[in-house]
Amino acid sequence: MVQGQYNHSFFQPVLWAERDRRRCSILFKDIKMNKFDLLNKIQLLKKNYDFHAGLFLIFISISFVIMSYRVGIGELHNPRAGFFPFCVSILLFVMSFGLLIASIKKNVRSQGENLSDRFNIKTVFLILPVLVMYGVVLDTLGFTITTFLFMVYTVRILGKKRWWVTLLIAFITTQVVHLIFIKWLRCQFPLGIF
Amino acid sequence: MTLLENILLGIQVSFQLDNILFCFIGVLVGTLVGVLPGIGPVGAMSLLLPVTYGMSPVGAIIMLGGIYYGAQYGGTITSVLVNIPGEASTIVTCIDGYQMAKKGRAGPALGIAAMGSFIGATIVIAAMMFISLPLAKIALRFGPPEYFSLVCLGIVALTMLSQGSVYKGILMALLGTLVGTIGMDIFAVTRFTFGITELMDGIGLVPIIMGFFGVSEILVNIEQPEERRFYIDTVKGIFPSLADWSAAKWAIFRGTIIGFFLGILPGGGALISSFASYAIEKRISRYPEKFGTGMIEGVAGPETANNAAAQASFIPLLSLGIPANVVMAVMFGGLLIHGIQPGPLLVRDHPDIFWGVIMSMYLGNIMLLILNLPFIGLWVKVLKVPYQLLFPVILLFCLIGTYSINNSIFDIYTLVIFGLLGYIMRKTDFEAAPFALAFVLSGLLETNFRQSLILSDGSLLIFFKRPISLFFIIAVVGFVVFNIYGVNKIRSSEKNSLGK
Repeated sequence: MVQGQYNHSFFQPVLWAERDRRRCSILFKDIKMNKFDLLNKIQLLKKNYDFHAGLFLIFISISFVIMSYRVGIGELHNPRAGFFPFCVSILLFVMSFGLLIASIKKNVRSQGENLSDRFNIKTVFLILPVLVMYGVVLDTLGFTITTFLFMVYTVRILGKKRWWVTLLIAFITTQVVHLIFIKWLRCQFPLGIF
Repeated sequence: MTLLENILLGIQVSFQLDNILFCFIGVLVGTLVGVLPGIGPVGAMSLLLPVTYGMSPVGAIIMLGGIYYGAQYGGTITSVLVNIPGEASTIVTCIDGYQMAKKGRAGPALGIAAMGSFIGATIVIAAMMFISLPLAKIALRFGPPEYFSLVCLGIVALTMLSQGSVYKGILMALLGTLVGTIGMDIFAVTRFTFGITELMDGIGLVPIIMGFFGVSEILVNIEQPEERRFYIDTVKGIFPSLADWSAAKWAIFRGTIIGFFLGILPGGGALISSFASYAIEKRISRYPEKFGTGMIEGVAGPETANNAAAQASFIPLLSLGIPANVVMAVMFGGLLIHGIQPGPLLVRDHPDIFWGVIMSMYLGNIMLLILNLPFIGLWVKVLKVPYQLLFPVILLFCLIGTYSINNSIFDIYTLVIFGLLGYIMRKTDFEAAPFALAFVLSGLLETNFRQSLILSDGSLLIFFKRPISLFFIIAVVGFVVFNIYGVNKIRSSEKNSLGK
């Protein structure tokens, strides 16, 4: 049925656990979507990243414990700035430790999975640095040029459209966005040459 | 003021020209966002949040709210026509709705969905009018311990009711609370800022939400080439027949009730309501085996429920000041930026805002009915835009929206970091919703906690001694227990009955 990683919704980002998917496939058995069979197979072989997550969270919680202690905890009847973060981070530490232990006990079903099987590293590296670059370049090149270049990059490189489509879309989008954000909403953007 | 006077005040406010415009923009964007897979109301609201800075607070709530309930209408369209849910709350509509489309009955499906949604939403708004004032009066008696316990209940309920591992959800909620403490506390003590000036006010809400629900969503979706099989190109015959109506009317009625209660419940919302409505319709029906082949109750019930729930989820925010789900949390954060604290004080001191928002919801739903019925062809055309063209625009809006808040590149760094984090979380089975809710509520949680301790002179028992607070804490415990024992029983019995 429907879910694996394919849920277009901001409301409830969903990566459903195995039991929910099984339950839903009973509910929705009439729906067949072929691409999800492949996804389901990947899910069955999935490696458990809970251990890494647990480690990361333990690191974070210990850092916060130390930092809040330094800020000052105060006492129960006079809690200072560090009191609440201290309590929360202790709780976080305990629970992430529990996660760590649980992940060691669980079977790791597939040893053979590489990082790149689960995470699409190429896409991540194609998109995220460009977002940062937009901000870096905005000051020097100005809003119009930066936006135009960004659109060209994303539509052409990532969307793989032909050149004339790319340029047309980039041009139109830049104009529309300029209209909305700069003329209408009067946001302040470094304008540069145009 | 009497109820009638409040209503008239509300009508006066909501019919101001610019508020009408904002309402229209909100519901239009909402429908658009609902129709397009890949972006949802949370993302759209956070994108438009910077836009609302120049507006009056009423206008801001009207517009942002319109996005939320508008998306419930819009999501139906993709679900019925393409079998891809535009929103999580319209997943269930895919089942029977698409089958109806295949049989040439897309029009009645969309029609009954829109009309049921309208009926459900209108009834809930009417209920809002009657219970908001008494609820606010009760809330005025809340002190810090009550607020603390209530907020805990909201976060716990959301975590318990969402999919995925509850344990991991609580972990994310704790992490979100912690991240929310970065910055100055109420006594202006800076903490965890590492000397970075931009962090003194805390990490921005908008970059986090856009990163979690916008950028990471795109990163996940880009991996899969999308195949959309349209069932029909043009929609004819929007109006359902009399037979359809007689079959669906009870489903609509039940959907309204389900949506109302599950929408008010902290942690509930449109998603849960639609699922619950479908399950109930199937169980009550005389022909349960026909569900999945195009039963109109399977469309009318969930669609009504999700809209009723969307409207009902405003109630805790506006009357109590507690957001019931992530969408309301974004609204809450947005209002805080405007300097407005939603809650009983808002109802008492700014009745024009409160009642203006309620009255404009009627208006919004009427606009949506018009947008969804006669103008359905417009949305069918929108559906044909390929994702490759869509996501660059979404990314651009995320960038511009984030940058325009402070003209600071630091916000963009935040956006990227949380985009990456959100992506990793999604791939490793950690939910972003509890994090986001807890992040927004972290300030409330901490302030009330500290004030309670000061009030009680250091005794933690204050949370248990005061009756309302004790009630909420018992509810929290009840949720935990229910989740561990009860839900598993229901799930296994459901599996047994559905498997037949």
